[in-house]
Amino acid sequence: MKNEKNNEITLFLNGSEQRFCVETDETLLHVLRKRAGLTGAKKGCDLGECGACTVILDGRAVNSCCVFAVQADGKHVETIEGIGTAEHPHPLQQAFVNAGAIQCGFCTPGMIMAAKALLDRNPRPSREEIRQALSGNLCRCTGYERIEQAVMMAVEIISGYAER
Amino acid sequence: MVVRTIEETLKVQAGTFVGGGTDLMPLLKNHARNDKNLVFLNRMEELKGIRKETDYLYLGAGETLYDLSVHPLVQKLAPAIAQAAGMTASPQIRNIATLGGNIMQDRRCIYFNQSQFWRKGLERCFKTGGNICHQIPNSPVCRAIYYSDVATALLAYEAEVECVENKIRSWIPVQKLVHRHSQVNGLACDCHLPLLVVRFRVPLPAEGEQSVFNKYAMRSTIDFPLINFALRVGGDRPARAVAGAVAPEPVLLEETGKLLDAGSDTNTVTAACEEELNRLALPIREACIPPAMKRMLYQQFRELLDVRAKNRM
Ligand SMILES: Cc1cc2nc3c(=O)[nH]c(=O)nc-3n(C[C@H](O)[C@H](O)[C@H](O)COP(=O)(O)OP(=O)(O)OC[C@H]3O[C@@H](n4cnc5c(N)ncnc54)[C@H](O)[C@@H]3O)c2cc1C
Ligand code: FES
Ligand code: FES
Repeated sequence: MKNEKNNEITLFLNGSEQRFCVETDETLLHVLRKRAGLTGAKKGCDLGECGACTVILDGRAVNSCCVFAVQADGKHVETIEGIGTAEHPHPLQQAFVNAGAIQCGFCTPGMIMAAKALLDRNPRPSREEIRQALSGNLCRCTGYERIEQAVMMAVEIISGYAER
Repeated sequence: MVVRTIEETLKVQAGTFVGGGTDLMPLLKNHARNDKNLVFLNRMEELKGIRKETDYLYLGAGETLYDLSVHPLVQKLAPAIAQAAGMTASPQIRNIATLGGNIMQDRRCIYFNQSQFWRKGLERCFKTGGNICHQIPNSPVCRAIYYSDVATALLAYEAEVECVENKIRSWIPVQKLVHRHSQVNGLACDCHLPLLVVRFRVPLPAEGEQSVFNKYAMRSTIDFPLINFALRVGGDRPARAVAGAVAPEPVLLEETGKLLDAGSDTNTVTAACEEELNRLALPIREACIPPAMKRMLYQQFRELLDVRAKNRM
């Protein structure tokens, strides 16, 4: 794919407005990793199959490797970098650590962003709804049981906050 | 370029429309397609909207599969479409993939949907500009399969589609569009119908009409369907059964439909479906299963027949 034509796009990236000059056929993943320096979203299959590149676009989980950057113009993009810090991790991040739901970690940002998109619209999902929401994310090492447990743990933590 | 109106699309010369881009992107990355002039449709309001009007349910070609799958009107008036949209690919893909793109998706084959490097070892096939089908070497045409899930459901409803072609806007049966698309799409990978799909309309169900969709896939969020079925029975129109992912376009099961109208029992209808598919389907080698195993799936049509019981309740 080579397309030299440049387009200016604006992204509301983890809450901050940022402009990028992109090629017509450039992916959102490429913009995040190479232009914005956000390498949390991973390039796995690069073909829409593994979910390692999952980010949240206007509230919905998408495979950023299959989104043309031009299509994301004017939209809100949330990446793993935007949801917590080492000092103040997001409950999902903390739950993944506590549950031992991470081995190599390559799938983890995508898993967490897919889970966050679910919890943002449905804070009390059933086990089946969690499985559905994560069905587009592959993990080659941990297995899915711990990952599911981690999301359930985060649900408990988040609903604890809500009840306070 | 990003277009906002139909008038703007009419000015585009030799462009490739992009709905969600989820079918196109992997093909571009694998250099199976080399489209240069991408025309993004995601800002076109005219392609949006899910509305019920006098006789039809209207579905914009730019609606995402996720929105179709959860919309109460689609779930109630055309459940097989909601089910098909909700079973296509992964949640991430459904969040961005469009209805128009689903219907106009490329046909697929294990010799074509590969990286350029992988394909280098083979003679060019019809779809990559050559003169052979690696699946069936003596075939005069490409035998790649059309895997759309939603098309199967739309055909069961005898839905129509509004297209703009040669600056003329008209309604045609979805079946006709899919047939033309499938023929052109098998000529070469850069051959595509030069038309814009605007919206679809599905006749509203008469009292007593029941419909259902189901599909089988190895890993349903990654793999394309091994087979899919849609069925519409009851109401005031003859029953219609359709099977997809078994040929270059969905297969209409006419004899099966007649037996459904005659009220035949499940075993008889299932046997008829198997017989029709053995005659009409054109299975090829796929990543997961050989044609012989695919033929064993024809009897899965049985699972849809429970929908008839709803009418008797
Ligand atoms: C991992 C993976 C799994 C998948 N699984 C399935 C599956 O199970 N079932 C299935 O059916 N599909 C599947 N797909 C294919 C694809 O994602 C879907 O078919 C999707 O609906 C395509 O829609 P889109 O808007 O992204 O299409 P695009 O990629 O935007 O477009 C596809 C084609 O349609 C044309 N087009 C788009 N919109 C219009 C329009 N309005 N008018 C005219 N032409 C138009 C484009 O030019 C292009 O040729 C899968 C894809 C991936 C990557
Ligand atoms: S890298 Fe995007 S889905 Fe695999
Ligand atoms: S932890 Fe290694 S792929 Fe999931």
